Amino acid sequence: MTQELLANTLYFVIGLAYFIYLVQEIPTIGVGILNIFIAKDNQHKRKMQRVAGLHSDGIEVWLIAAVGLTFAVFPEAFGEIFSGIYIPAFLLLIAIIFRGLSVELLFKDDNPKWIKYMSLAWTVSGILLMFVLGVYLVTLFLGFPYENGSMDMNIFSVFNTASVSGGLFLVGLSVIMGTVWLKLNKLNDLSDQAFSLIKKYGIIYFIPLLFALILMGINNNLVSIISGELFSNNPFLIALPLAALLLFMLLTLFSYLKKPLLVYGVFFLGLALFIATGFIGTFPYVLFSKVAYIEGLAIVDVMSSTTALTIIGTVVAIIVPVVLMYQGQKYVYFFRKDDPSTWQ
Amino acid sequence: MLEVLSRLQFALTVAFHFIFVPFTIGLIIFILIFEHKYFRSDDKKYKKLSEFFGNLFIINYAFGIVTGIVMTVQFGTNWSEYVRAMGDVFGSPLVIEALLAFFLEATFAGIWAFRRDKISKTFRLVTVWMIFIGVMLSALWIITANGFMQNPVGATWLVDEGRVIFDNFGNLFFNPYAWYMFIHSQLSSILLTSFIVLAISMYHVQRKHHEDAFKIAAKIAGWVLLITAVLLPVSGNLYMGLIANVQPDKLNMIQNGVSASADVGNVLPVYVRGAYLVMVGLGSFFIIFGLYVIIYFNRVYTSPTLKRIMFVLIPAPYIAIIAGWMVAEMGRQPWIIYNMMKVSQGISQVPVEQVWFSIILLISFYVLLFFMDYYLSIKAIRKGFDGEGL
Repeated sequence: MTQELLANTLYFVIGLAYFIYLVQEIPTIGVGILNIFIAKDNQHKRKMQRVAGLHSDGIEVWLIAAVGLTFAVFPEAFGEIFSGIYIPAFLLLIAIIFRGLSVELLFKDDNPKWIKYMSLAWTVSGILLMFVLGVYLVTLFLGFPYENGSMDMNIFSVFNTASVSGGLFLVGLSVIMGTVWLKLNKLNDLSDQAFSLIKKYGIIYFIPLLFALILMGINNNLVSIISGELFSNNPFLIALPLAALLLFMLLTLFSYLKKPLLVYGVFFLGLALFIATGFIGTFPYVLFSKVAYIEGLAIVDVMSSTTALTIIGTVVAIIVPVVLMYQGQKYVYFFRKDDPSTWQ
Repeated sequence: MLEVLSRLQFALTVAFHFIFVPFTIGLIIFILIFEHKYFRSDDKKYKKLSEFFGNLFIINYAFGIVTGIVMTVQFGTNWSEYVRAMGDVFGSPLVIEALLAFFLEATFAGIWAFRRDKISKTFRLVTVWMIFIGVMLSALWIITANGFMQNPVGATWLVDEGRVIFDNFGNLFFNPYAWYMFIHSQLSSILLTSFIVLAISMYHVQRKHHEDAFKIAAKIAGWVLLITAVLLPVSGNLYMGLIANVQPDKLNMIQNGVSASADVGNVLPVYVRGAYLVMVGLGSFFIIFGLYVIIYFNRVYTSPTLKRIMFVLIPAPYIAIIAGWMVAEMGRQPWIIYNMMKVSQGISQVPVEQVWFSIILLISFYVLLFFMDYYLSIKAIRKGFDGEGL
């Protein structure tokens, strides 16, 4: 493989890692966000902790893998992006810290105050993590204010209509998918309560609306999510974001009709198309500039050497399928074996 | 100011992360020993020991994993010039660490934390083995990355472009500096854990809480303490032989407290020498202490005075490890990559107030995290086998 082909392939592998991360993280984070709203006692909380905690650490590594791959494959872009989104990056870290600790340590002390504050931390950190991640992803897809080799940003630059919609979109999606995740894990009573909540507050109706706001890319006048090279050369690709929008409309419908498996199906496909749209849209730029395309950092300009890319490509090709196999097997095994009615 | 703050921030996050890491590295070995004994004998006391120390492992592992993620992102936020110049080489071990080690460790730690009461004996053993392999691989790969900073092999420095280019993976992986560091740091982590396991076991033996089980744990910990304490100066001496060849200025700081580099100044080499003497002094103490524990074992675990002394001395192995780390990292100054790139060239040009913000944010939360970990660990230790398993 040539250096450029390897770099292009790994660029889409990064997109795949974000997808695998989000498709697992959104439902488990949702369980955490819901905990203070629907768990009536510690037994409920313990059951919610068990269905979310079993996978949460393994899921988080997908985010580390996506960030680590960006570091290794496109070092310069990694440095520019993270020093550019300095404050959101640290907010994300604080959210990751408290989300990880709260889910692991919720019942490591029987003091009611400890449990109360850790439950609250589980909810708040989940909301913060999804919100900042949504802001970050939409900024990644719609472009940074990058010009003349430097980021023209202040603390609030990343917060605009489209990116805030992205944050709210992921938070809303988490709550809905958390409800579904409880159902798929046989915690029917808790799922029913969560369902009443998301229907009562109309959360299910906001998802397609927020997604439409992301696609419209308000505040990004020069470039949009579908104005990249691949979209310009292949107009039929516009079907991807449109199909994603349709799927998120169906998500509202199936949520309304209380069909958890169908909701999960459209969520899976919709999210895949959203991430694909973002990565196809910004290609061939790793750091997409919303000032003008030419200002961005293109794959060929910032890719690592052939030796580095060959090593990373080989490691990814061998290890990622193995990881998918044992993590997938873990889901299958515990879906079959778990009986929450026997949990204390 | 920006450089000082960036250095301070990174030193702070690494040091804090390193409170949890050595303890979990050593603990997983103890858990593996107990789990094996339980698997073979079906004796419930080994299961109880494994779960008691497994509970402590999960608490410290949780803090370790979340504080570790901070550093990955920090490379981008505060050391973007370093990433730009070194990412070609430095990125590969980090990716391999995530894919090979983190996934294994995290996937199976989830099973251990949340389903160990619902799985078979064989599955339990496999789970602990997978976590152990993940923990060891993680240490190996991060030290491979750090080894490159100390002794940059397998890459060429492109002067015109101001960056390195990767040319030999074998040289990077078999970097002797990294392997010496790996062995030395693993031994010190195991020593630290054995010291704490011994103290905890003595505490429970003396309060007559499952004496039989904790006497076994104390005995194993005593032997592990002695063996690692004896092996550490051996590995350290071999390590010094290599340092003499590849980092002569570091050796100069260690032996004489001075540096030939004009960028270093007069104070830092004195700190390096001081840290080295602290490490060696404590290392010698651990040998004598380990011998005493093994020779007078029957007297040791019944002595309330010695138990109190041990609890007071729990910070000692941490101090020894941090002193060793100071020798390794301060001794490589002014270089971020030895003889290639200086630390001052690696920082991100970000507004200084943003770095202040992150430092204040991190210190505030890390103080909170430290007390949370201390509170939970002490409570779990006190409860012994009566503590909640999950």
